Amino acid sequence: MPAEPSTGGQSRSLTAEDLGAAVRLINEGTSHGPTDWRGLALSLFGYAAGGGGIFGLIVGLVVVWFDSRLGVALLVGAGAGLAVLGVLTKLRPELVDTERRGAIRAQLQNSAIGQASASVWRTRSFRSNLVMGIAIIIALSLVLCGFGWLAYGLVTKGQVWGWPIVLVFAGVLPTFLLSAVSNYYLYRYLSRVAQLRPVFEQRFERAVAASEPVEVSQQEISVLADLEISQNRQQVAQAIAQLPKVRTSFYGVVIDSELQDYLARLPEDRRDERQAAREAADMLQFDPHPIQSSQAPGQTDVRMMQAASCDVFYRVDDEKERVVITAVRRGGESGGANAS
Amino acid sequence: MPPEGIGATKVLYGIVMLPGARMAIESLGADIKNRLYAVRDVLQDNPRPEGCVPFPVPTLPNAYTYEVSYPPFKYQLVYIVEDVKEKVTVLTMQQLRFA
Repeated sequence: MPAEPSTGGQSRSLTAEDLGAAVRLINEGTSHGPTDWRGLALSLFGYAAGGGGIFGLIVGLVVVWFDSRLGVALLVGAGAGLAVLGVLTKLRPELVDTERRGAIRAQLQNSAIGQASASVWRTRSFRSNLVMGIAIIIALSLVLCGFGWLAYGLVTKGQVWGWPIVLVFAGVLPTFLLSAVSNYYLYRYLSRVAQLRPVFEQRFERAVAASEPVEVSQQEISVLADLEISQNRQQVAQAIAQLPKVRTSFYGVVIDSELQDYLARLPEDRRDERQAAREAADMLQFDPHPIQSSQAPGQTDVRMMQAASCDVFYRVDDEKERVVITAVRRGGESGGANAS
Repeated sequence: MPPEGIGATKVLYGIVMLPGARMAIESLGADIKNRLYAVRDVLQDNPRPEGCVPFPVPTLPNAYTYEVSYPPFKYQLVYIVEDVKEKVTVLTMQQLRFA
């Protein structure tokens, strides 16, 4: 959910615990990219070196067979560029790590202060898809035409022409420019967040020393909210990555309505039955036929298993990938909920 | 989903709760834990209850969030609804301190 933009004016009291959490949020939020001009410059340099390296490598490998001097020069340049990228990846991984950049992009999507960059990435409207699609087609066409032209010159004339190489470069350039723009917005957002770190560290120390809450402006709360939401979105992204496996292997678990009512009415000292239903639901979604389960006595289509010292009864519909928990009975008791 | 009424069968959605979400709920106190599990029960009856909000990612049109306020925090469940399979997958449960 996008955070409400700051309305200013109002403030909120934060305890030492809140402030500690705020410092952790800021540290985590700013650990994924450049927060100063030097970092931004290094990041752009890294991308230019890497992009140039890959470009030089591909063109150099083709050209070296026809013009050894130019080909070797391109390959040496490519090696140097990739080496720079390698060193930078080792020393400052946060500046060139594309995976982290993806995480930050998610962060920017939700940030109230990163609205401008958000608009670049957030909207997947037909128009933006069309523009992006056309841009990709043009870039690919330039690269293909360039390589075709280069190959023609090499095969028919045995010469390395300069213009085809320029054309290929022109096709690759937009990717770099897009990356540079993305980097700039990332830097702009993160540098603003990073400015809050010393402020909140001081407040945290003050709150701990005085054992009193500290007033924080609504605007700052808004930034913290952005960071919190973006961190949560990253967790959602990680969970979504598990989905393909879940979709094919997990069973949906239903707790029978009557059993739900029964469990809801249970007094606090009977919470083991509630816990049993929850534990069983958790186990059965992974494996509806666990080894410790057995057929319920006298009921052909009902199975039973033990959870939280209770007997849990359930039906399995393999076709619908569905488990219905129908009853929970305390161990040793003859009665139970809805044990039909 | 068939309309509710005489002769209509109420569709119950199967719930899948990812381990991370369950662990997050289990780490909480008894009261809020019961309230969050109650949301699970609500979702199996109606995966789009009043108060649920579409998750703001256009590539996930069937994802929703449902918030439970429990001062000083809010707790947010993020889940995906698959109507064809009559299944709800709870992806995460997150504690919100500032949002």
